[in-house]
Amino acid sequence: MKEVSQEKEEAVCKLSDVAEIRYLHRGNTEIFLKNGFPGARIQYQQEDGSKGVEEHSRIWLHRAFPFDLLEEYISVQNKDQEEIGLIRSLADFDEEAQKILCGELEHKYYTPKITKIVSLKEAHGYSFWQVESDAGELQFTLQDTFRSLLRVGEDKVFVFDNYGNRYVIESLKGLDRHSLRKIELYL
Amino acid sequence: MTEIEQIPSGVYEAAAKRGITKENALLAVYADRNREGINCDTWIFVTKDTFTMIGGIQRILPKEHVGRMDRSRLEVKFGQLSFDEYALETLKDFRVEQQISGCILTAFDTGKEVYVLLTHLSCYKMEEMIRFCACLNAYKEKGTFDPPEERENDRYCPKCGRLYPDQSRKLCPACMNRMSVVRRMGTFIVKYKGQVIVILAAMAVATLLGVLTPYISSGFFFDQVLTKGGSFYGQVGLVIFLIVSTRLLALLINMINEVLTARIVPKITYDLKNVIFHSIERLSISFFSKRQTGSLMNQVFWDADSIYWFFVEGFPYLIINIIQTIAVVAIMFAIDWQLALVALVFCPVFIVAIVQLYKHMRKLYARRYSRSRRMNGMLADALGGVRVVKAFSKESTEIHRFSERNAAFAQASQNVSLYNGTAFPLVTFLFSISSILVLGIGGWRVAGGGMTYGLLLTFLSYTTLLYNPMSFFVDINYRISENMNAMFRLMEVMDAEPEVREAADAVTLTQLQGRVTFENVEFGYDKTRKIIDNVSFDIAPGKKIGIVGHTGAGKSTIANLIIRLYDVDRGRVLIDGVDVRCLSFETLRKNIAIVSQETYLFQGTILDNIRYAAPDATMEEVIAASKASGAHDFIMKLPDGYSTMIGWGHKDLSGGERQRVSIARAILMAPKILIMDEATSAMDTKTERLIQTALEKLSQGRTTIMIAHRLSTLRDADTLMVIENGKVPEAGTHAELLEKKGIYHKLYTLQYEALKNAGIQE
Repeated sequence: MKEVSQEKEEAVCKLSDVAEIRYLHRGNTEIFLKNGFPGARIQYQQEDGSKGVEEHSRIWLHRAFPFDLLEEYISVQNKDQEEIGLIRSLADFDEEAQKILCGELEHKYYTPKITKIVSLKEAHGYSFWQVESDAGELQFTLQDTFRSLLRVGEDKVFVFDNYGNRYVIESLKGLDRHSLRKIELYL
Repeated sequence: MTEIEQIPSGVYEAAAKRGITKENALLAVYADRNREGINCDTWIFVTKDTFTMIGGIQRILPKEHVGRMDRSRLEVKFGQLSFDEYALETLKDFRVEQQISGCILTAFDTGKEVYVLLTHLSCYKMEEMIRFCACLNAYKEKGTFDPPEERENDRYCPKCGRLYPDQSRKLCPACMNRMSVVRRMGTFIVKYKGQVIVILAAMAVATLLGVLTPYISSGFFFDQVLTKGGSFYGQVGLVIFLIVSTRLLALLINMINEVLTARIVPKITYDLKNVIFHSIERLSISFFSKRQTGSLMNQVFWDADSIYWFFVEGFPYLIINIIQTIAVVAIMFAIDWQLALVALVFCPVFIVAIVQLYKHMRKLYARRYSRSRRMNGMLADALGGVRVVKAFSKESTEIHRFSERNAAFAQASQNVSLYNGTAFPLVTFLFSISSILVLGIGGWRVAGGGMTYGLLLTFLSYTTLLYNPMSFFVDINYRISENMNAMFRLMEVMDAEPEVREAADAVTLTQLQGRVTFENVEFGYDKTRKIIDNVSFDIAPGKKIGIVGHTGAGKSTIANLIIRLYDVDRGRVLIDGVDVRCLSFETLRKNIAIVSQETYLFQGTILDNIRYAAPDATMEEVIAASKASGAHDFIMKLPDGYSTMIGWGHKDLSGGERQRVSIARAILMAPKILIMDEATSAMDTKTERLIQTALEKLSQGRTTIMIAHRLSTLRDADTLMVIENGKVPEAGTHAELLEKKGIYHKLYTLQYEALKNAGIQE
């Protein structure tokens, strides 16, 4: 049994070697903030063995697993959406860089958290929501309610409105009884 | 964009402190988040020299209560939180970038030589912001404003203040009048007006008979026939005759009703399905990419049934039941008003009980429905992907997954049955309480001589006649709203304007030369990203053009623009010097053929599929086209040859075979312009060569546009165009491009090396 797992580990190692993923961490990357956007200075090994530095005045971050892993496996991209490197975990960076990266991720993935459903009405196939959220009172409309709700795990629900905005219910259990009863039918 | 006039005065008070007034503000726009991405009210003002952002919190105070969100009657208090000012000349190239849930506004700061983040906004405001950017960028370039026509306020429903869900048709589903929907849908049955009226009349007569029967069979029978001194004492035969004749009459009417219904129902659903399918089919490609095909199919069939139900059963029965209830209640009061009160006193309790019952019922049914959907979905998945399941020997996992979902479904079904079995008898019992009360009090009256036995029996029968209408009324509201949804959806499809429309004065060219020209074409599938960016080229008639580039560079998009599946955002696409938007669809479809990456074959024989675009082609032509496309040989290996059934549930062709059939379909049409979009990608190089040689001969005097990854496919092209990031940085012949040592050279060496390493010499 032990042998098998070792073998597996080896296989995984080989796979990542073949894929040539460049992982970014505090050892090879410096993250900085410039005009409200994060940028990166990355050291890399040149073919002749000497060290080179590439600078990106602005980088774009993209979560690989946006519903499950919020601070791990984050793709770093340039303006053409080409991947410059991959961050295995934000913890691989020092505090200041983490703050910049977190800030950017929060901006990009900004999703109001619904805390209470004030009213939910349906008419002609659309549903009209009025909710309280951490961003204040919000009003939005869903087209095809069933398809607009995405349940992640047992407790979390993402809501997509008809204009492409997202909202999230962090915990169904945390909702009050009245709110829960209003969305129960659609889950 | 917001009209300068319409900005709330509270905001101006804050702006005035920074020297912005109604007079000097040129342009203003509203964003619903701030630079930190937090929801708040951000106003952006542009004056001659400045770009100013004022962030704050707006509190809306109604001046007087008119509607919920009548914007013109609201006073806005504005509490300023933040303030940013830029010199307008330092900023340029304003653009909106899409985020995960919302957008950001950025601009290039010429002082710092970088893009700066100006503000966040939600998707609601995206379109306005894009228009604002376009207007501002044009101003920076030309120095003049040409404000867009659409006004910001037009995007909202004036009644409830919500954004319209679909901006191309200004209809608010929340505020829409039910009757107007019904009236519009009613046009479908107007055709059958006569029959419907007869049906309604028959139903009315049947109801009247139903109301009359209890009187004859109980009240009249006991009091007038069986009681001494009654006006018809002893004439049992008469009563029997009356009963039999009413029953016969009722039977006759029912039969007429059923026959008529059976006749018109299929016709109405037929009409409806046709209308829905026709409405869907005429829409542009972009409509389909927004929606799932499955839900569209569902729509065609489900909605047609649902709409038919409303007009043929729901609505008429509603009227009938209203008449019946009124008649029954009136008769009951006429017989004995005190007893009638007793009978009706329990009705509210009964109605409340049924409402609750149905509510819970619906929840149980919904759960059962969603669980059965989950189970069926999994089943389809596991069976469709049986090869993968077997390959990874995941049978036991799948079995486990299925049994889990099956159990969940079984549980939900059980709940439904249990509830059905217990709750409904309970409600019936509740209803029977009123009958028992009537029986008790009435019996006491009969015993005291205040009422005849016959009248009491009649009264009791009428009490039971109330049961059905009442449960009908309780449920009808829900069912009607379901039908409204179906009707609304149908209206949505019927009203949706195809984005690509044939011009009213479209030109039909009979003899096409085959010249294709792009003039500064810009295009993007969504508004924030350009796929084609200022592309110009000219293809002379009869030439063979190759388009190369990376995946996602925009190669197929060019093909889509030539055949006008989409319209360009800017610039022009010309065929023989005429803008494609001025050409009739007939000209385009008859003269341009495309073999695309997705080869779709319809259900039917191979012959039908090849002849799809040219139904009049002779067998000889079909065979010639197949031979040229390399399809003939494999077709002749099939037992049924050209008559082999393919498509869903029949013979499955391989990728390369499907491509060959598609090519045959395209060349049989003998188009002036032939577009091959990765048409030979699934074939080996040798087969590809063979087909190319055949095509070569065919393409005399025909413009051919070939799109491919594999450069060897394109080597013989007269001109090669390299596409990168939506632009055409290089164009020329194979030799010229190699000489240039640019992108093409790089691509070619890469592929050539790869082939050489694999031991393949071309």
